[in-house]
Amino acid sequence: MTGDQSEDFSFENFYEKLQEIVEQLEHGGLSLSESLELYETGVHLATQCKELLTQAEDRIDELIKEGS
Amino acid sequence: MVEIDVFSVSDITERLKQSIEVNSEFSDIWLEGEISGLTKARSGHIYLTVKDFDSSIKCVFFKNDNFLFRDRIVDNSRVLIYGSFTLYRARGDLQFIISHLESGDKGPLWAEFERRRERLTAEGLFDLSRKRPLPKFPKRILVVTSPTGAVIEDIRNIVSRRWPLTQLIVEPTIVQGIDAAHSISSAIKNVSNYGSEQIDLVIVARGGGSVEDLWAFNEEVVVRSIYTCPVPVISAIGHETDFTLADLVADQRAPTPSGAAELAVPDRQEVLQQVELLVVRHNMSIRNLFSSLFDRVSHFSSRIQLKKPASELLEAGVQAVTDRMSHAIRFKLVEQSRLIFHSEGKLDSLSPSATLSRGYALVSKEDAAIRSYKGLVDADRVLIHWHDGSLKARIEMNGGSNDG
Repeated sequence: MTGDQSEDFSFENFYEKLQEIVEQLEHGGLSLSESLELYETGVHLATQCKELLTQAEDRIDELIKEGS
Repeated sequence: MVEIDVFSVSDITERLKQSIEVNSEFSDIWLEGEISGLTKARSGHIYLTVKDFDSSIKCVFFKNDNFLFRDRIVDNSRVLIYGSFTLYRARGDLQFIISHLESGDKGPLWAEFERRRERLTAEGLFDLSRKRPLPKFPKRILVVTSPTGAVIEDIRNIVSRRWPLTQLIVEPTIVQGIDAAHSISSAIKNVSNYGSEQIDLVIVARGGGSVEDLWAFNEEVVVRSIYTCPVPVISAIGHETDFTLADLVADQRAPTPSGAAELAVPDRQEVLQQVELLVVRHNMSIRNLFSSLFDRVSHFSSRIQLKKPASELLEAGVQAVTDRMSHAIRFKLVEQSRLIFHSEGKLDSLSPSATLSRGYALVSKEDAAIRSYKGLVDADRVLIHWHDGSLKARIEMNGGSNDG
């Protein structure tokens, strides 16, 4: 079957944390430096989410190539 | 000499048998009649005669086909049987081989189904309150099904297209016949052998078939193993119109195996859209925070300008705030938003760094952004920020121009 890689992929984790951060930021009431720290983390999480999805896309392309 | 065709008994019997078996009028047909002369042989086969008022036919119901009906066939009952004719050569008997049987009313299987359903309902196995939500992004799915055939292929295709981050593990099982229930049940129980944190979803699937073909999924041992399964179970047994007890006990029932795959994993295009929406909200929230801070500070600044002599303490306070903000803006926000907006072409229009890269510049003094020429006096030292860097500069007032 398809690799142990899925162990390292924790899309769910990234996605849920990003969601939490956005909600916290939208809710407000945080200090400036807290907000910025959260924002910075959020940027990384979003990048990682997208990377995982891009990798997924690449894998589909590979599968389609293999199949054809 | 006259030539006469002479057949051996074996030859002619074989020819009769052949001609009966190839004749589609005598194959795969339904017969209606009454059972008599019922014999349940030690071998497991059942021999009987079906008759109406003036004819009778000898029938055989082989072990592999009759196991569901064995205890429920009785003499003198009215039945509907399905099967094909053949010739039993050893006796020259015409025989009907039964592959399916229904009793006059709704059939023994239906009655048995209802009995079990009532009993297990009373026990609470089908309670809606104990249905568990499916994991949003399952990492490993155990698929309990036949290792060959269309079902596993369909599931594999759909899962890999929608969400290739999920790993499928196939638990091969027998899905029909006398050993199926045990095989399915132990395959489901196998989920624990991977550790409950590893498998996060089970799909129990089988393609379409007759009521007998699907019967294993009504067996109590299968129902209970789904009930006690430590992770959520999706059932997909037969076609949309087929209902088994396994469907009733499962956390979610899918109309078909393909439907199960669609329920099991999200579609990556939709998820990508969700992520993009989160990114937009994320950027908006930090921008809102900054613009409200900006407004507050420029409000203070304008008051300070008006009452300069009496405001040293206030000014110091404001300065502290603006210092923190500008530091933040210069070293974090601009950088970070450039980062994220770069990866997100569509969102560029929202980005402050995008404004700069369109040719605008930002002027700051003592780490505070200057939003109006009124904030500057002659010889002030300022910083001018472009999208690609900053320069120090000094203001030189020549005659107090105030062109907008």
